[in-house]
Amino acid sequence: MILLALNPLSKGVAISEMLILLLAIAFIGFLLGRWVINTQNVSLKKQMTETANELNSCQKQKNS
Amino acid sequence: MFELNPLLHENAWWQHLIMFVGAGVLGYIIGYRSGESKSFLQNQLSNLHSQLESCKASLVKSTPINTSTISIPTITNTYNTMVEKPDDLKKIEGIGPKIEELLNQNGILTFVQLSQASTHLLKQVLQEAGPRFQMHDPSTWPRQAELASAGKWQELEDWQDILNKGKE
Repeated sequence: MILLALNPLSKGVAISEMLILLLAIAFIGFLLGRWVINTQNVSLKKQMTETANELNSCQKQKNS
Repeated sequence: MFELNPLLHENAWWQHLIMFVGAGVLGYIIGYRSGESKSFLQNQLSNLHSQLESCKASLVKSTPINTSTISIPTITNTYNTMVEKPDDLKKIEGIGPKIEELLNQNGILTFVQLSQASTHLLKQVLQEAGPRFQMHDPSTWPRQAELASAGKWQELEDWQDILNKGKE
């Protein structure tokens, strides 16, 4: 790494640079995947709550 | 910060790009799959929907309707027919006495009601009744019931000749 005054032609430095970058990108992808699935689940849970409320009121109506 | 191509190879950039895209996609897949199971929530939601449908169906069945408040005579007649005369649902191919009883218990007494019931709801009713009923396929029942309720018996018989135990 130039910033750390490391020799970029050294094999160890080259591999670790690439690993750091790959891991960082994979982590960003991971966060993105989590965000997408969580958004979908929040919407599903909202629908479930609405349906459960509707079901409760239907059952109350049925029992009364 | 990073000196990724110190030897200035011409092909280095696209090789790096492939690796970065691959890592990003892999991370996305792991993140997506590690979240709470979406299919589990979808199953729960569909269960709630079918419970709601059957609750509404039984509510319609159990709610006494004050016929004097209904001004349209055809609706009153339909209601009276529904209450007084349950149809012989066994005329629908695929429905036997046990299934007819099961459908009646779930508020489906007439051809009109059966024609309006969704296949999803019918499958749910059969599934809840146990393994003996789960093998039945109700996908043609609403359409058969529609023909029966319209009095198109010949058309229904012709179709039933083609059907195999109520299956297409």
